[in-house]
Amino acid sequence: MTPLVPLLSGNTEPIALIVILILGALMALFTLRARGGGRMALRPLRAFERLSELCSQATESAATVFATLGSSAPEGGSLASAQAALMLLRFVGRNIAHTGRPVRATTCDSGLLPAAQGTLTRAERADGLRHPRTGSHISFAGPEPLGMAVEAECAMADDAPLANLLIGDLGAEALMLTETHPGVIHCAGSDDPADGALLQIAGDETVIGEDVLSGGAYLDRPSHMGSLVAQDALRAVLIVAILVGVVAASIGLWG
Amino acid sequence: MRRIVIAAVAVIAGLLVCLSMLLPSPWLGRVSDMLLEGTLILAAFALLLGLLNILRTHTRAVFQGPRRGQSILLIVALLLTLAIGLLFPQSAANAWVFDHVYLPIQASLGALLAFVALQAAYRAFRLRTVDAAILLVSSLIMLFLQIPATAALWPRLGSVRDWMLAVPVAAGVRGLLLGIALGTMATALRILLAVDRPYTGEE
Repeated sequence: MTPLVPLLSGNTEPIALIVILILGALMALFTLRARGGGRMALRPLRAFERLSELCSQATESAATVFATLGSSAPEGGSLASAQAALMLLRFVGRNIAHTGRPVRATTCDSGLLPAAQGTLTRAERADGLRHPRTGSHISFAGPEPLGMAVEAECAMADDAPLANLLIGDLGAEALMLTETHPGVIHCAGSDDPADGALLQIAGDETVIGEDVLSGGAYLDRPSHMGSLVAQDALRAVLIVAILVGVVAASIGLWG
Repeated sequence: MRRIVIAAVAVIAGLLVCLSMLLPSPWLGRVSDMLLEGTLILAAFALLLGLLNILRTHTRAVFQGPRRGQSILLIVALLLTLAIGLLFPQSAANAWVFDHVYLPIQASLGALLAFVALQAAYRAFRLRTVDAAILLVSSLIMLFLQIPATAALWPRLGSVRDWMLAVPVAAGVRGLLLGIALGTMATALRILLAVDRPYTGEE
C-alpha cells in the first residue's frame, strides 16, 4: 500500500532533522515570550520544592548535603542527566556554601568529576566564599556504581548529612544508600526508566523521566522555561501525530 | 575572549557531530569520527584524573580521616594492582587479582543488593499511599505471571503476560522514553545554541 507520507517510507533522518528544527524554533519562540514577561505556568514538582526547603534547612542547622552522581555518556549513561546533575549540584552548592559545611559528593564517572569540581567551586565563589575549596570535597570512587555506593555510604556515615542527592544513572546500588541511611532525606532522580522504578520506591522525593532534566526551570534558571514549554508543545504535536497514525493505519491508509 | 573561543569550538564541534548523523556526507562523517575519537581519548585521560583523585583523597584521609586503615589498604591495593597491570599485563598474577579478589568482592556486594531491594520494597509498600498500592499490585501481578508454576496452572497465562509486557508496559515505557527524548533534545539544543555553557563555567 502507498504510504500516507512518502517521507515515512524508510529514511528517518529527515524526520529527526525536522523535529529538531521545530523544537529549536519553539524553544526560541517561548524563550522570547518568557523574557518578554509572558506568563508560563509550571505544574508543581514536589522534589524541586523540597530541594529548596532542604537548602534552607541545611543553612539553619549548619548541616551538609551529600551528592551521589551517577555515570554519564560516554561511560554508559545519559549526558543530559549529567547536565541535570551539575545543575542541581550548582543550585545546592550555591545555597549552602556559606554554612561552612559545603556539599560533598562522590561519583563513579571520571568525566563528570572535573565538571562537578568546577561547578561547586564556582558555586562557592558565587556565594561569597573567598577561598572556595578547589574540588577537594568531590571524590571519584572508581568506575563501578557499586564502589561509589560503598564510598558514599562511608562518607555519609562520617558526615551525617541532612540530605543526599542521587542523580544520574546509578542502578540498583542507589538502594544501598537509601536503606543504610534511612534518617537522611534522599532526593533521587534518573532519566533511565529502570532506575526510575527503583528510585521511586527508595527515595523520599523522586523525579523521573524528563522531569529530571527540567530542574533548571524550576529552581533558578528562568531561561530554561521556554525550552520546557516548547517540549510540552512538541509532545502535544507528537501525541496528535501518533493518534492520526493509529487511525490511518486502522482504516488502511498507511502501513 | 577565552570564553567566546571555548563556546565557539564547543558549538561547532557539537553541530558537526549532530549534522553528520542527519545528513549523508562522507566528509562530515570523517570529521565526526575524528571528534568522537577525541572524546574517547579525553575520557581515558579523565580516568587518569580520577585515579589521581582517589590517591589524593585517601592520602589525605590517612593523615586526617577516621578510617585510616581502610585508606591505607585502598592505596596499597591500588598501587599493587596498578604495578602488576603495568609490569605484567598478560600474566597469571594480573588475572588472579581480578578472578580471586575483585570479582568475589563485587559478587558479595552485589548479592547484598537483593536484600536491600527487598527491604526498600517493604518500606515503600508500608507507606500505604496510592503510588505504593499501584506498585504493589502491579508487582504482584507481574511476579505471579512470571513464575513457571503459573504457566502449569493455566497455560494461557503466558499469553496474558506477553500481552501485558507488549501493550500496557511497553506503552508506559515508550511514553516515558518519548518525554526523555524531548528533554534530551532540549538539553542538547541549549548546549549547542550556547544557552547553557557548562564547558566555560558561565551560569
